[in-house]
Amino acid sequence: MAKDRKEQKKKIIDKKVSQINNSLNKGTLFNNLKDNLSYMKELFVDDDLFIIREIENNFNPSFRCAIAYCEGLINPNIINESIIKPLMISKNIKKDDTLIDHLAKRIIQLYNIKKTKIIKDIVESVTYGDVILFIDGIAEVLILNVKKFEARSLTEPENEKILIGPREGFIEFLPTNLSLIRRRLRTNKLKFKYLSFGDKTNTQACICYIDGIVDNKILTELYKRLKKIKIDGVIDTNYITELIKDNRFSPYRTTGYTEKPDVVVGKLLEGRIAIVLDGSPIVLTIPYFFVENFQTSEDYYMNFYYTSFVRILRILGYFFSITVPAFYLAIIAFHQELLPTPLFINIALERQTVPLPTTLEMIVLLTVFDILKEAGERMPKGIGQSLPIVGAIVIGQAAVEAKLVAGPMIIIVTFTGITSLLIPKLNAPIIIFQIMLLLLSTTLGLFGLTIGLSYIIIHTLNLKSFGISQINLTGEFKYQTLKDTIFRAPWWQMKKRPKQITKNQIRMQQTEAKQNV
Amino acid sequence: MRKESMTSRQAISVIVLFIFGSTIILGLNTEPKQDSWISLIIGIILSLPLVLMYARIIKLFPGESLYNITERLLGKVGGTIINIMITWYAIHLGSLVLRNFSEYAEISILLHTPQIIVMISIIFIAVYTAKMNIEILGKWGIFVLPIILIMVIITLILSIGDYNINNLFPIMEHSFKKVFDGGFKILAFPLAETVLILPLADFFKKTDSSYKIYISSLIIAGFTLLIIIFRNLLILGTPLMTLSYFPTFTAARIIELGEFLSRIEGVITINFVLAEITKVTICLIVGAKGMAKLFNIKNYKNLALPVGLLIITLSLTQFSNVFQMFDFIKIYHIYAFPFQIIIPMIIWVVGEIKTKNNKVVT
Repeated sequence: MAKDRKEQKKKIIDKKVSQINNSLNKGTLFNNLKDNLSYMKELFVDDDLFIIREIENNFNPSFRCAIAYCEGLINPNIINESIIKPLMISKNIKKDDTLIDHLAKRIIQLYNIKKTKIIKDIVESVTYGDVILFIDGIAEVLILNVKKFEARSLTEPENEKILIGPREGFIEFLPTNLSLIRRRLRTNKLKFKYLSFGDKTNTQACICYIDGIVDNKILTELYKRLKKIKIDGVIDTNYITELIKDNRFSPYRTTGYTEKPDVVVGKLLEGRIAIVLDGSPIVLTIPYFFVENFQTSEDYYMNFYYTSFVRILRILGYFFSITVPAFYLAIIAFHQELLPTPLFINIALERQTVPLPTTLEMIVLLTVFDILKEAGERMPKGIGQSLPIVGAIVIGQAAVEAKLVAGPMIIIVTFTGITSLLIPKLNAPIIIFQIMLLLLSTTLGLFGLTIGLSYIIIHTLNLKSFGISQINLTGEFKYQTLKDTIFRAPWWQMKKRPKQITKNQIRMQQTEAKQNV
Repeated sequence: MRKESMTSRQAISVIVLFIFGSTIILGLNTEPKQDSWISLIIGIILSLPLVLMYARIIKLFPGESLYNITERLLGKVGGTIINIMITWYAIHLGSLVLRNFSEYAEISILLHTPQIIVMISIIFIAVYTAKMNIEILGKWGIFVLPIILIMVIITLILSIGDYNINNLFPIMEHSFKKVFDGGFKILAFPLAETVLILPLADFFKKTDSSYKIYISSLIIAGFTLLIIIFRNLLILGTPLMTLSYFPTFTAARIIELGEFLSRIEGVITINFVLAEITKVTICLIVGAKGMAKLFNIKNYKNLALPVGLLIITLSLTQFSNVFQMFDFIKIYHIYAFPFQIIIPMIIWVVGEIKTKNNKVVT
């Protein structure tokens, strides 16, 4: 019996929910204030944050209205001063057809007022910090913007620290983030388009681009993909990243990300498109080139000789971090002749007492390094200091002294680990390809390593971002196409924008360029 | 769908890699001994008219694959016969090249590994590449060719100490006929194998000059081969070079830089594998395209895997040991003659006549 009743209750609730949902999508308001309020109460039943306050005018008792809002999202002072006070004490409120416009234009002292009849809009705005003004006798409401959110202050992003250059970083609040971009690009060509994602979260997002530079083909492709997103909630930009990815199973990124407004502005100027999401300090930029994995904002703020050198180091770092362990294994297991004899004898002596086979030893040590790295990132700062000691002394020195691992192995693993830290944007491919090459070179030596590398090369060459190849190897090595890839050309030579992204390539007017030279 | 295409530089680098293919493993014909380099030059000169003919065929029918041309020129039956022959040649060459490499691998680097594993690894990459847009193969060419050239230059520089100029003398010790014969063999393997690029001509851009593509790849490849043959001759000398099956490998063994760098033949293998993959991939694509044409299948990419498996099977079964393989290589130029010279000649002549009479509407 109890079960039946439960089921019955569930059915009733389900029915009610579907009714409400239906009325939400299509529903409009009643003429009567009472009906409207009871309807709202029904929608927000069991929600104590939702508050309704009824108001009457002192001079015209027939005028009755009510405001509804969610506690914690609004600014109470403004509600008191600019909404309730004028509504109560204003002398010239008359009930007629133009009442709602009259209120909006003359009585309520707020900068942002919208009118609506649709219940869905009301629900969305009241849960986002707006105040809804219901007026008796009118089937329309006013949405009053009195948002006040607590947000983090602008700080330097932890994972994009730089020595020279702007340090401001994005925060979790969309309008602030947009203002950071707008402030740096003071032109009417900069466009912002609002979108929202998620059936439940209704997260606001904004697409920014510079009209006239952006390629419309990429823009329409982006909209096409964004429209396909059907998900209940979007909490971070990475949700979008993975939902609109080109090569879905590839470990590589096909969208860029950054926490710094100056980086976003730089990319917008090259013709890229940025996606800013409310609630996330990470901003996406598309399309994405493979070289962007190796670029940092600092590259453009420091001397070009130095940054070119560092960029080449990063590219080498990526290459080393995936191949060095595999290469070492291939030499030890298959091609000992490559080593000079004395060195080989040394290594062989070291290896004599080690219990594990080389491959297993390598995998274990690489995993240990990754554990240490992960622990170091997640640990509270107070305990964090003991980690390097444990890592270096216990696992490094003690393990070698106890003859559990060979000395050269520690060197190789540490070197690989440190080089992989150079390029944080490629951490996923590094992990996967490292293990893949490792296994191939244990079984097939240098031949296996080459086969694995060929696979990686072809996979990487095939990468696309919004239909545009991430690596452009046509064989025509012109200076202007190379200038921002493996090295960074000085600014007076960056005369053109990347040609794959934009048709409007001229970045420097010719006369100005001549003056600079 | 956008038409797949390669830029002319991509095409050049791919063809160069194709010519390198198994040549940098096997080395060229070494029968003329210290005069091999003369044979190579003769081979290059002999291949010029041939290559010009191939380029002319592409020029006559720009943007079209050989498989489509044959049916229009020679009718349904004649065209199908030619298509079958070209498809067979592509698949067989692929298997031959694969076998060359696996034999090399067994003798030199992977002594205890069954050959089939080596073959499967290479075919896996070839199928993976073939399934992709042809542009990826072009990019691969641009990416890999410099690596191989740099490696050749490095070995060249490192081995300067081991050069013995006397290895080149006496010049023209053997009869002119023998040297000329060597030239013919070099023509057949590898230079005229570029006939297999013809079925890929629909991937070239119509605006690109086919002459430029063919001639410049021939020059780059020929020059590099000349350097390689000189290096091997200077290091090894006649007896060693003719004795060893894989002269480059043997030469790399001798190279050393002080105490630190020695026995770099393992690293040289990387070079071989990269060139090998390109050649097998091209044979695979040409084979798959031919099959698709014969069986009327729209997308040749669906046939990449079956043709790949076919190549492995053929490769495993055609020789029972390495000696048979080298025996076959000795008569390869006779076997390849109809595919490399007669078929293109027929297509060229008929094509020339028909286009002149305006009977073929392009």
